[in-house]
Amino acid sequence: MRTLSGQPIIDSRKSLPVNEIEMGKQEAEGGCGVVGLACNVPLEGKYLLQSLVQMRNRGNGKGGGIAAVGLVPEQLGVSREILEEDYILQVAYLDKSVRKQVEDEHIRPFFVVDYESRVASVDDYRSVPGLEVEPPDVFRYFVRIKRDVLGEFARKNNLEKLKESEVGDEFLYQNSYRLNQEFYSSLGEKKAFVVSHGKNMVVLKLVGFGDDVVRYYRLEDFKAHVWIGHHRYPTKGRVWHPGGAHPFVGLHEALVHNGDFANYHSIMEYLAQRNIHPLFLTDTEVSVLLFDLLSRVYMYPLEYLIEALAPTTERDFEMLPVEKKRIYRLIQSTHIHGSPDGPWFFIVARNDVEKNAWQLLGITDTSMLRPQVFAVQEGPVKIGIIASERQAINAVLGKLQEDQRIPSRFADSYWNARGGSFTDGGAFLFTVKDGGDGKELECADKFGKAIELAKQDWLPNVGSSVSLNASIAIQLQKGPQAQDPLGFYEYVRPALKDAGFQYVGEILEELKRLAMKGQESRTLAIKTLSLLYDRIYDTGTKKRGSLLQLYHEALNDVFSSISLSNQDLYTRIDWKNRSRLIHPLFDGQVLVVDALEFPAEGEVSAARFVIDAYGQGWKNILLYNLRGHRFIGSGLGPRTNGLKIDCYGDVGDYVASGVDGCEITIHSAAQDQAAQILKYGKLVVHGDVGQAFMYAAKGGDVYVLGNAAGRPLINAVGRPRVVINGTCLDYLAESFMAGDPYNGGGFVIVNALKPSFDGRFVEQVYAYPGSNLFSLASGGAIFIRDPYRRVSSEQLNGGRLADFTMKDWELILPFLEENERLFGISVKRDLLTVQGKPSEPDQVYRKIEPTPLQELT
Amino acid sequence: MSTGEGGYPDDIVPYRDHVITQVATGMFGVREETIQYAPVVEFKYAQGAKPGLGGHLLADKVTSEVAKMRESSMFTSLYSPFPFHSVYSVEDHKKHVDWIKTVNPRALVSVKVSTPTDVDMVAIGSYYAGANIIHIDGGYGGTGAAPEIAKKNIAMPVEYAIPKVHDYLVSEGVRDDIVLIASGGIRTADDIAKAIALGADGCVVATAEAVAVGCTHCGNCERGRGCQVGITTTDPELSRFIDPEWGETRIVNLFTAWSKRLRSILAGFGLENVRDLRGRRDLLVRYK
Repeated sequence: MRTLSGQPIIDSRKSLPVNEIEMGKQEAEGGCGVVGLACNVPLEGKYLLQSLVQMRNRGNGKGGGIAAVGLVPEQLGVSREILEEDYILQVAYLDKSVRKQVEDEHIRPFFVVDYESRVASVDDYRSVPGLEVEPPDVFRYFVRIKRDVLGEFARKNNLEKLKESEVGDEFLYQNSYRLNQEFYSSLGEKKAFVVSHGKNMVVLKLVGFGDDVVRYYRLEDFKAHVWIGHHRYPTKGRVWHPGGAHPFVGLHEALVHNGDFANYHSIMEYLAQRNIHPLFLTDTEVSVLLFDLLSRVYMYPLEYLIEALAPTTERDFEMLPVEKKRIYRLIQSTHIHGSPDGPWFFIVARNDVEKNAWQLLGITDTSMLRPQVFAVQEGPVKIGIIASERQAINAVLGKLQEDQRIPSRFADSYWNARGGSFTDGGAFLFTVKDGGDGKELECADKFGKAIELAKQDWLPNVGSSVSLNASIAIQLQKGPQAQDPLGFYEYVRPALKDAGFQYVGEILEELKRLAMKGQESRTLAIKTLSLLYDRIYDTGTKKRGSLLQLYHEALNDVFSSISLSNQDLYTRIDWKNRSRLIHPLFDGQVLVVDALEFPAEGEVSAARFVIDAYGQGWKNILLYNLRGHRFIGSGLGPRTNGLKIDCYGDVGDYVASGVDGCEITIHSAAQDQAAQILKYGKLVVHGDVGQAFMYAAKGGDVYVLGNAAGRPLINAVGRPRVVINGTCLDYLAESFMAGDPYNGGGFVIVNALKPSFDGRFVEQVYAYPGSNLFSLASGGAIFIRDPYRRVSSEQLNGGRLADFTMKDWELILPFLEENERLFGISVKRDLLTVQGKPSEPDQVYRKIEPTPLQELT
Repeated sequence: MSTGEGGYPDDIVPYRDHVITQVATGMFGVREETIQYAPVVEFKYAQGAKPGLGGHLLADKVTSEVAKMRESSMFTSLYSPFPFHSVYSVEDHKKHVDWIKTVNPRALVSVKVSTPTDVDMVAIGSYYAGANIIHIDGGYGGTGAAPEIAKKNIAMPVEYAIPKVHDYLVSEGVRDDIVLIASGGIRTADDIAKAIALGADGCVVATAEAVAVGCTHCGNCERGRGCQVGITTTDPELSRFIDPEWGETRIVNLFTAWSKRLRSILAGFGLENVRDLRGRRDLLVRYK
């Protein structure tokens, strides 16, 4: 913390020119796709590209931008010293003729320019498909502030007691403000603006999509340790300016934002009281101005900065240690008017100059209204990724894996932050700093608690194909296990633990060979590979993420080897051949759809293709190479009993929405709005689910292996019967209206388990971490596995804890048995065993039922 | 007609070409087939008279008929939240519209919103998300079940909202690509003419039709056994008070009278088509 107050800095801004008409928000936005990545080795911009392309549906092409921190001096044409010492002042010229004037007035008089150049771009912007507006010409100046200028500034503004670097930072901030005010915000015709000015950091943005920035400014091979990217979705105004796109900069940080503030005016006033006047008039600009104020002027440690932005409240506040409550209360009293209210999610790329560290932060609002996913993978490099959608994370990893930079397209861990919580503070940071041998990457939450990964081996770069070991082939075909996928899986399970990657590869080769031998063996191969891919088991010293890569490749090879439009049990179709779709040739024929080139939504999306196929009579549809495709399972209409759909890859939002009868299996995680208004049918998810899971569902038998995010089963009615083997962020079953569970109504079973790296299912620390459990429900019930009785009535809101009886056990047992059959989570060993001891159901499970409140009847 | 939040009774399926399916925040009665029947699907993002409150159907009104329509259990209180929990941002809204278009590619999408001060931004955002109709519901309408304090003190009167949205859509160059519908206290044919002259393409009426079949505006729609005149009740006895054929005559009379009045207004201005009245604020006079 600063020992001297930040007041002199605030006072020094009094002389800055302020636009006469302080208008309200000029841009309405809120919609966006955001992604960020941090790595201990510098990565090329092309790795950001695919994830931005896959998230284009979150933007509308009216603004996109990137920020890069932790750069490579050779690529910029400077020495390492200059990169570390100088500010990188980048000015975007919308009107090329003002450049000399801008330089003469705002640059040459104050700075020693060590190096300057025009930022490279393609020759003709029209060669980038979709770019309608010529992006600005950006000039990059490596500058140091002239000593006498700095001295004068410090003297004039009473800043002599501050460190030279602090005075310099403030001088730069004010200088850029003046430049922006004169050449951008005060004018009708925008002429120029400072697009970034921090050390070891560049920001580029234009009117287009975020991936257009990478293409136009030729960043495909440009390297950085930390990247953030953004697609904007502004809706107001016809003339779009690159100045309105994200990221916005404070000083040494760049911020992108998904969301929309309700209290913009309050924040403007809070900033105005500190002599800060936004120029670009968007939510995002004030967000980064807040960030800069708290970090540079007040010098709060990150934990307090995050608390000021996203205060801890309600039960989460009560659960904090006493000392934290005291400090947080002080922070909240001081900064509450500067805390953004409304849905928001920030990703920040930051150069912590003092600590020589580069950071990527993700901070979510306290009501968890925006989607966010975090992921980390450790291998030959360590990489952390944050995004609005999980499929965007896998897009980055997928491209890195294709280029053999990392061993697997799957992260070691995926999770969501719980906004404003005592558990993780709603924020996670990836920090790149000096390590023993080059740079290292650390990941921690708001409180500094590190995310630990198990120390296991990753897949080495094998490359060459593995030759088949004859004895293995014979061994694997012996006996009954050759006919039954589950038997086969149980048979190879010990090998999956004890053997190395080589051996596993050989097993997979055998399975692939089997797949070519005939219809039954192909079925066996696909089902067995799916089990290996879906199930949780001990992988010994091998990382599960690396094994998943092998299974993923094997499955894809098996699917791709199916010939197009044939007469076998399995027949394949893809985008190029979609017009060849005909009815199934016999009952039970399986249509295998390569979804890769289908659009993610729209009239000819993969989802519409599934509708067409069903219309032609297909009852068994398998999709693979899903890359964020949305609405799979929607539009099939009523009474789809008998239809089975399997999804492999990264399924997009709204999967299984409105389903009435069919059975959908997702062989990995699902994203947001999955199974909304689900009416009837079966849904199995071999992973997590996202926000608002089963919103307003009317029924369905649903099994989820992992966690749910915020608001699962909210406003659900009728008779959904759901098993969630993990837990959720909060607002589980709010306004649940599912009648009498014993008599045709619905319920949710929460097991609060998670898989550990050695394949066991272990109890999560908090069976339910939030403070809004079963709020204001009028029907149904929750059965939660809580042997330590940690769930308290403080977490309820219009519900009550009730005795768990044998009647309850009889009700839920059939679902737990099906759960065991699907996921291998044993009722006896995993559910009814507590710390090694077998226990009775009523010692393990607890029931939460609605309270008949006067107001609710 | 719009189904409103309640659901899509089987009885009206034969008339489905004339029925708008409403997707409200509780998504009651929203099933794939009710989306597929509808020529227009209406998202009710907010009501002029109950913003921020949400809806609450009391348990004893949830009879077997209601339960069937809403796919719930009988005699369980039913809640509609105030926001869509799946839409907290404009790109969520676009996803929402894309969902409907996946289920029924031919349906037109209507977005019904209340009238906050930035209703013009809401309108343009809806347009870019793919909506075909923007339906603004002002503060003077509202179901009898909405609390008085909400009805009289929230949102702006639709007379202010219509020109605000109309002018903004014109300045954005998209006015002719989206239909603007106004509701909220439209009671006479003159009100319709004024709304169109202010900039709307048309109006939605609700309370006026209820009054046509005998509503006395007593405000007791949801209490006890329900409406004393037999309109907003699920009680089997009370709902027999109104003879459907008599009701049909009354509503036909209402619209016939209105169309005569509207024609005479247009004739007075020398206009041949009601579309020519749109945006003709010069034909309106404010009494000082």
